[in-house]
Amino acid sequence: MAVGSAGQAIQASTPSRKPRREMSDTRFAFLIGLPVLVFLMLVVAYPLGYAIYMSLHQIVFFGGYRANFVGLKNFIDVWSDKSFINAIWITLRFTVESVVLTMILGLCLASIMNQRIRMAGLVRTLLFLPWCVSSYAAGLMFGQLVRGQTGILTTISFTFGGTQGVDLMGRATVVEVLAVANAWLMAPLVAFFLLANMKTIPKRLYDLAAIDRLTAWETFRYVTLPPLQFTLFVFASITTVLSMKMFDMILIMTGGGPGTASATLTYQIYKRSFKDLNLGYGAAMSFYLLFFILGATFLIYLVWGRRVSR
Amino acid sequence: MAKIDLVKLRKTFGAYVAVEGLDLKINDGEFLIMLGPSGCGKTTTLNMIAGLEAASAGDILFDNVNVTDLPPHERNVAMVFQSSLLYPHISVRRNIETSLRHTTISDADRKRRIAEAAKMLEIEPFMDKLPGQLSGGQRQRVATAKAIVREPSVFLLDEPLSALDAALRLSLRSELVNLQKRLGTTTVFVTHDQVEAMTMGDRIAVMNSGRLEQIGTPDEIYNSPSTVFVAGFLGSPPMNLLEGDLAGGFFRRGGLAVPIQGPGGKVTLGVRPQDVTVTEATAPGALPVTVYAVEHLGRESVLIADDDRGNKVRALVAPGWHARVGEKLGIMPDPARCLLFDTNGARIYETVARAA
Repeated sequence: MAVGSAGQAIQASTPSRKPRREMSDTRFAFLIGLPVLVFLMLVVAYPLGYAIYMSLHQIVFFGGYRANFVGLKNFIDVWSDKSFINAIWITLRFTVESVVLTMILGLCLASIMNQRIRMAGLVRTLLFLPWCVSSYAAGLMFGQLVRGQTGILTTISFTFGGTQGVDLMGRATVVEVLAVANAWLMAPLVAFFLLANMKTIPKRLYDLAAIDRLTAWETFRYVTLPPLQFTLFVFASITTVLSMKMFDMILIMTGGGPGTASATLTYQIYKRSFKDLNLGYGAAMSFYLLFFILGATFLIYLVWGRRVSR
Repeated sequence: MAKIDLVKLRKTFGAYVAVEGLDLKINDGEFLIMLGPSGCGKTTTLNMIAGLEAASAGDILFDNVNVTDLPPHERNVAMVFQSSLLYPHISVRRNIETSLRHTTISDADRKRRIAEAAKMLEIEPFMDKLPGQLSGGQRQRVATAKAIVREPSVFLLDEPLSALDAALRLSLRSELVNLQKRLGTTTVFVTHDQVEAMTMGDRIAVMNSGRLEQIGTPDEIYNSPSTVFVAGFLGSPPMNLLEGDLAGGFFRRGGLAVPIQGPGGKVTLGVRPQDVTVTEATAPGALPVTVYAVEHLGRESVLIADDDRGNKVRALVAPGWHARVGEKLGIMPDPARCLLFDTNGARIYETVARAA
């Protein structure tokens, strides 16, 4: 009965309906991507265009808003700005330290989670938690942990009869403190991706290494590390980008200080644009930051990514 | 080269006993096969010989030296793993070199050994390729070369051929045996494939649920199995195992009566398919069966039939032989070729076949 009626329905509908051509994959992809494209146009293209406009103008608020076209003047002027050069170095130092620390910490965490340990689920959850903390909160926490008045080292120093507080937020080490806090935030995610890779390594390969008398380091190099290369490369790139544009944690923890010791490019851009209200100048700086980020990731791809991406 | 003694070897994982009270002597230069179904403890035993797993109890002796507590690299063993494991990201040459990495061999010697191994296994053309670029058979050869360059006292092979296709397995089988005989290195080869075991080994150790069932030459294992497990595990098509009663000089099971003398009681009669004759259903003393299928193997055919208790009984028949499915026939074992096993599965040796 059901079959019969279905057959009739098909017969009845076939002559009236034209055979419809199937949509090509490209068209379909474009169609479902359209809302996102429109969204991106609004939230990316417009601000980007406006930033380009600003970077080519001198924007004056006082005595009536004016935007005077100055051409590439902003782009040239920054190079004679000592704080800009200083910011480049600080950004570089912060980024390199962050990436190296994040990778090492990620590898360590993944190795721990890859062991057969009791309460592995709980350990995994605990290790993943830092990633869920906002960088604002992490900034506050690390600030408390290392500041002279409240820090751990001060406590230890006093416990052992010291009379001096130890302040890691000083000029010499403030960038390192920021990098450690940054790595603390990023490493859990890296660790979980590395762990997924580690789980695919055949256990017998470790037996082979044992028979080949490989040392622990060699076993790590020959057995554990190779399948992790691609993930490490991807996350080194991601961490590079995120570190170079890290702003909120720096603002909370150090406010660019002491002096300009932790004034990264992002902080300088913020200061120029919103404190000094020199929007055009700040916009030009932010384009340099964009170029540096693109350059850095491209460099990582050239020296590393080409070798490991299949 | 070494002889290996396993003394009361035992391995447990928590409450699970993987290997129980294993006593095994492996002669110097011997090709020993450890055969058994998966989970029987053969790979665990191999791991213990290699030192990859610590024995829970018992001793392992290489040439009378106790190595039970030595780590793998102090035992001078080489191992080839299932699916021919190699380090995936380094070239074949460097894979082989890794075997000699932590040895005191001179550079010249090292080069010579690698060149010799490469020549012996005919892998010279792809010494600079990565393992991923090789076929399964080539990888297998490389893994073997990697094992022999160390000139170990013992080769341990863990189902090295199981991941290969049938044709390749066939050719590599004889290659490995030939190589082992030329080198004369004591070899322990783990497999669950009885054909591999029969064709490759000097002796076969059959294991079942952590215990050694029987050890002997392929001929002994095949023709004189000491337990019902060994009898049923080796041979293709498998041996017919029929439960019945032994009394008054006859083994009886339904209509079947085989004239065999022996201690009375419940027994299992084992007879290989080539040692039975197919008769009329009404033949006296024959086991009445119903034809289930006939498999043609070319040189011979196998009749598979159901007996009245639903057991499958197999008989080898001439290649041209035919029968309809469902046809009633009789099966008559050759009394001289029958084996008897008691209810514990142990062989009953004191049997005498009588003329019918």
